[in-house]
Amino acid sequence: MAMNTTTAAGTAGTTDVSAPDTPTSASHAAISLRGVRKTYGRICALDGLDLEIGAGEIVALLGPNGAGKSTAMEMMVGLATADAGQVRILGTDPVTATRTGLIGTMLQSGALLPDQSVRSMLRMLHALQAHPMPLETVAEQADITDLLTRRIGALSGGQAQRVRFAIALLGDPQVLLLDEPTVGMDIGARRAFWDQMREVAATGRTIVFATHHLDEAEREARRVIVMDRGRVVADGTGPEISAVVGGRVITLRGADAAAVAALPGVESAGADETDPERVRALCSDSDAALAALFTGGLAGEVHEVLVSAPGLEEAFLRITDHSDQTDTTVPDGADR
Amino acid sequence: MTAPADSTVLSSGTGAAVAAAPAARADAAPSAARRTLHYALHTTRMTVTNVMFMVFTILMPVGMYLLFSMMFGKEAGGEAGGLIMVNMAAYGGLGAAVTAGTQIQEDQRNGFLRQLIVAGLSPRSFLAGSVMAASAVIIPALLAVGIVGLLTGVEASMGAFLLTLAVLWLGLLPTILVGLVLGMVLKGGAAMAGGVVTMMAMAIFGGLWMPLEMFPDWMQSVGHALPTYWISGLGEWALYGSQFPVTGLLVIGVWTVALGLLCAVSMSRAVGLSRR
Repeated sequence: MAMNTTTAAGTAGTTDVSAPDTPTSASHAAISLRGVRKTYGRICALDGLDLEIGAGEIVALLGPNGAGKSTAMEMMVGLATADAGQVRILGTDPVTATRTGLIGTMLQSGALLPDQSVRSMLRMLHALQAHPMPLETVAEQADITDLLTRRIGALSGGQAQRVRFAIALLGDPQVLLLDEPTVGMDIGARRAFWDQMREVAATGRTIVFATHHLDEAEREARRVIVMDRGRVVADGTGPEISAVVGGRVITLRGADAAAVAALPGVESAGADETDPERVRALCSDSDAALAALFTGGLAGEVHEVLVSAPGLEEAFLRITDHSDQTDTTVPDGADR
Repeated sequence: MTAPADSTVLSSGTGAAVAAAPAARADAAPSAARRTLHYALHTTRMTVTNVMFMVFTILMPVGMYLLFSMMFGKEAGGEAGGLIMVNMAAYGGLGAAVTAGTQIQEDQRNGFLRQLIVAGLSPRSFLAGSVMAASAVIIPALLAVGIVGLLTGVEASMGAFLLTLAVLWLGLLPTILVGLVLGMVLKGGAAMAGGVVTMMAMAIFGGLWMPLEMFPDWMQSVGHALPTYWISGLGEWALYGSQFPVTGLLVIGVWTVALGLLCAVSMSRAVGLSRR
């Protein structure tokens, strides 16, 4: 596992990882985690996490629940302390970084004050910041100007998320952490949120966001870091991560997964997550698989056959698939 | 593998400019004291604009003062009215202190403390600011009962009157800490209920509603160990110049120190943070 990560970082992470030990250099990494370990009781949340994010980067943090994304983010703002390893934000420690307003955070389902108006609560948090942005500017950037007089308890989930985004912006931070920012938003609200986000990103801030929405990661981030079980398992651009899964995906109905898996050119097959009636097969050689499918015993049975290129989703599932312990597939794939 | 290299080039361009900024900005960061004060002011503002809070913490003790002084106020040459004023002011302050304490802590329990910490407030400043805010919001209750007392025939010099309110205000410090601790130890509705029960118990056993001498011995013993009994005694001393209750000062002091420590310990556990 250790070798796997090293290789993955060395190939996909490129210079970000290989150029750390230059404290004399004028530019610090925006975020640097080295060998960070954290256990909660018997649960290992972070298992020697190494992460280096340069200033001005926009990075998506992907991973299944429990991968350690939230713990890593809590550490970056000093809400959790590492059992071992080092966390640095723009060359300083996380607590100093929050106190001096270098880093702003949108906490995952971060608590608000339900009985207060949005403005009242923001005024309090505003007063605590080291060098706050004017409240009106924040409201504009987070698109909550029309919500300021509303009682927080009466906001919809999406509106509350925008208020949390405003909280992250209050301190005019260099580094912006967003833990699942679009949770509770419908498609329209998500689109509007990212439009707003892109304007904020254009000001040159470093932005790291955790998400379950793979399309968001692929579209909004220049770099995608996949975490699993407390460490980085893949690091690169969206297309690079997708390339981990070469070949094609065939989906079809009318045959069982085992029969499809036995076909030549098919690496693995299983029930489609969103539609158990569909079989989803990952192919190294889709042509051979199709030929066998339509000439063999299944020919009369199968229907709705669809061939597609695997996206980030496939790669994500592949990388974080715990049943498949062939560790070398990830870096090899990333090398391709 | 060209894209990450691109982003590295891009980031090193902005990196130099960004890295220069932090050092300059770190100097401008407000001090812990300033942050504590800001937090206390905003918490006070939020509490006093809570209509229900103000109505209950002011109307209850004022109403009870009027009732009791109508019934017993003329006894002891009118001094009974003054003592009822002291006791009801103490009761009002007690109610406000415990309620404010539990309410502030409940916000913290909900996780809002995390937002405060990320905004730059330290847990220590949070505690200090909470005590300051709760101290501020008990003033209206003290003032209201005091003023109604003066208006309804309690005779006292302005100096004695102000000293009485000041003594009550300072003596209520441990009851604020009781509220904070309750809020940290109990959750949601239990914290509110626990607050009410504790407040009632401290009021009754402290002899705020009825003179402690009317109760059985064991209740009197309990009462003598409570800060509320001595807060009332201190108020009496300030208003009518009875003998200064030295024991009372000690009891209140011990309660304050013990609860202060309990607060600090519960706090570090509640936050789950090991400060460096």
